Amino acid sequence: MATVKSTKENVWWIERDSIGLAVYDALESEKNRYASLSSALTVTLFYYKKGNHFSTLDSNTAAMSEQSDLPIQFHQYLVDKVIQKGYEYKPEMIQMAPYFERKFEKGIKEGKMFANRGRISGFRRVQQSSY
Amino acid sequence: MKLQAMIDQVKKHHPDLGANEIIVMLNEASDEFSSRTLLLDEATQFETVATQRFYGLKDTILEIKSVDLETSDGEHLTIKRLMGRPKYRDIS
Repeated sequence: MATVKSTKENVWWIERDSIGLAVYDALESEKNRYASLSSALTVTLFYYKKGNHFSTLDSNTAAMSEQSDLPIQFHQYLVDKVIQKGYEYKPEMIQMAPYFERKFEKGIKEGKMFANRGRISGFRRVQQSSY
Repeated sequence: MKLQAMIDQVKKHHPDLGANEIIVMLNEASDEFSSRTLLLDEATQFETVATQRFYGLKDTILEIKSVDLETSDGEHLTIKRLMGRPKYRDIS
């Protein structure tokens, strides 16, 4: 006896800063092709994330011992970016800003190389963007 | 490098900046660094609610790489990403 294969398939998509989950059935009418999940199930999301924020001193007195969750070799580049911004606020010393900007941009390049080294999550796909 | 050491370094160049002001700028730099390099990744789990279609995403999520869904026999299978969205919108 031939086995009957289900035409239903779970799918996800992104819409309005949310993740949509549904069961897709190609044999249903267009209106009923996507149905919400009928029971409670565990979903695991794998994603790229922002680094954790440091607490400000008024919200956490122990904040001074916090560390960024970026790998330690990139911490200096965060400092360079802040120094750059500080110089941008001082018109008389604005010529110092590009030096620290270049240091930060060097960090971005090294960070991308580090992320693409294959240890974190496999190789990065290249995607065309229009911005 | 601890936050104290970062603030001390910035203050050598900008003694007039306050600690909280520096912390806010460090957080902005961290956001820019992590979003441009996609250096940090993480996995998290949540339970779906029957018939609910959408689940809000945390602000710290930059880009979802893949999604696993538990099957009826308890396995976790990677599910496909839909290109675009369903033609008939259901905002539940």
